[in-house]
Amino acid sequence: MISLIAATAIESNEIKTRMTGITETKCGRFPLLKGRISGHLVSLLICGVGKVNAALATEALLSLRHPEVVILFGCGGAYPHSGLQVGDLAIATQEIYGDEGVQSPDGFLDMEQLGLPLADYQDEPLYNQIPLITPMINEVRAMLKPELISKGQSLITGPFVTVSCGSGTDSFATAIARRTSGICENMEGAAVAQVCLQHKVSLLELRGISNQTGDRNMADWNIPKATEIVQQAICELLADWEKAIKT
Amino acid sequence: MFLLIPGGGIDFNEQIYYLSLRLDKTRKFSATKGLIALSKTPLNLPLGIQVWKSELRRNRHLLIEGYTMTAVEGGADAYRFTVAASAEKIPSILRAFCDGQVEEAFLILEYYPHEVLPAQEEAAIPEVFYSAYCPIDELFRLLDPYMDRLVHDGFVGFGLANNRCGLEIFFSEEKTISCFTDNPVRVTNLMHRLGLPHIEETSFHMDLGHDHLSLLCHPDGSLPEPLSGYSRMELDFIRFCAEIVEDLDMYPVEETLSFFLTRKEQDAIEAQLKSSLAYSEYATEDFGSFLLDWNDFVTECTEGFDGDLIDYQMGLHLRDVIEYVIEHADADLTSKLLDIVNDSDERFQKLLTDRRKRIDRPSESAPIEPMPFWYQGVVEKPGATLRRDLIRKDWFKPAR
Repeated sequence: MISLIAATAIESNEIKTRMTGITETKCGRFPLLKGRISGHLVSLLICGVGKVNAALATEALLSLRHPEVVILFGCGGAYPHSGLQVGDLAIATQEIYGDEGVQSPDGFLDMEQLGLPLADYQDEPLYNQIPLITPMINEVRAMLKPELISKGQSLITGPFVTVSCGSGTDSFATAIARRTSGICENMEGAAVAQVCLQHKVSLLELRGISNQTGDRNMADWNIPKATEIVQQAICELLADWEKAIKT
Repeated sequence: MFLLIPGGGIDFNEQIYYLSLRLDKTRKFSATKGLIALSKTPLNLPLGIQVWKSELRRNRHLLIEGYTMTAVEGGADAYRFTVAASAEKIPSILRAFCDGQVEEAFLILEYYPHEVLPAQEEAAIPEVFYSAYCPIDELFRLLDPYMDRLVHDGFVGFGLANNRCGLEIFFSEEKTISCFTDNPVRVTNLMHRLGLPHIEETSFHMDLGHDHLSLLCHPDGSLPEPLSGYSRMELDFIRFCAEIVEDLDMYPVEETLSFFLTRKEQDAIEAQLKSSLAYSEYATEDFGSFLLDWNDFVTECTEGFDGDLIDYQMGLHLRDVIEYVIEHADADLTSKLLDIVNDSDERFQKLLTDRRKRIDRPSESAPIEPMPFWYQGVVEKPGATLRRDLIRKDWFKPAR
């Protein structure tokens, strides 16, 4: 089974309409829809916003439903250096906890600098960087890119940054981008990635770009466009899933 | 269409401003000014690689430090990291990769021991040498006088490996590091500690047109410290690599078989062998060497087997040990091991003649039923000694 996770219903409405033979159920205390897209058995889990909800929901999903692959999707903010614009698509190659640490007079100290691992993985401390054990990123990129380019949109892969406090000022966004090299900001990814890593389940994370990080101006945001592009991408992937997972 | 136009100059240590020109669906250009590569460090390539100027004009932004991670195909829990790092960081990356993980490793050295002539028709292939296992501190102490030359010469690759721990790190003649691990978190942490960010797979300098240069290609007096202190003779990679080969008593290896067994897989193999009455003595040995030795044995048989019957039987015994593990491993490991030995097995089967007869199995081997193919017949090119022993065993007597 392929499990799809989104933080909110708004980010997953299109996926829901594409699902056939839907049954509604629960996974732990989280709502779960089961059905098919392009013949593939999929589940859609709405985890709620933020790292705690994301981690709890993913842990429940992986413990109770044992999916083969998890696809996390939704909206994200583009960091200034990323080359991403509103309406573009980003794919994560790594997840980074962007604000787990301490803001000190000497700058931000991450968990490694504090000597406080967030968890262990095979006896190795897990700090802010969470590797994604996703073998199919290159195939997914190759599948999606031509269509996006034909629409004048970009697809960029790179590290994603998960925060509790979003980058609503230019200086904040620049500081996070500088210290992480991240391309896209979100609020759940690292938590889902950490749980998937510990369960050794592949995670693919895609986000449509709804806004630029930096000085907050909602007039420049476009959530519908971002949610549309990412859900279209997922449907395209599922339509040709065997190609995506050929590795 | 998407163009990034550097504006206001490039200052890698600070910020790089860019103008992003974008052609959208309505065929209108929009422009935004922003920052690029805020935390990206320019790649200070070793002297042995020179990216073509024409490539640099278009792709200078690709010359940055960073790494990628990919899952190794067919390997459960096996990951390959490819790292582009500046020359001065290479020794510390190699050291940091080994520290705390392995107490000993063997050195891998790849170079061209013979002069390659420009007019040579066939592309030259480097030769690979391995040392015996050696304590890490000792290895680095021995490498230290050569380290700068190894890092900078464009015709030399070198690295360290410990098969039993499932670790390998290699700095190639392309001047990128490849490392294999079963613990992606450990290497990710290491990269972060060294200030190397995760980058796109398409961002490597070796994907650009480039030349390889030996240290002798550089005019007298043009090499920077500490390389400027070496004589021309000392800079010659054929000479200094030969010295390393001699110092460490390294031996050439045929790179015909390439595989990676993770620590977890080797733990499983060790447990299986331990539980076998016949093979428990091999449990703590590097199982990878059994696979390589079987491959070497088949190669030797192809060229003409020089040993006697006992040597030949011991070669077949290697395949017995491998077979025992294959039969008792889980499905994934079985499939992986069968893939690894498949080519050697096929080659060996083609060598066998008189297949109705059977070679006696060594007493050390556990019984396998039915009799496996490697005991059915004998190789078509037995050397004089094996032939003599087979005659004594009446092998060539016509069957009654």
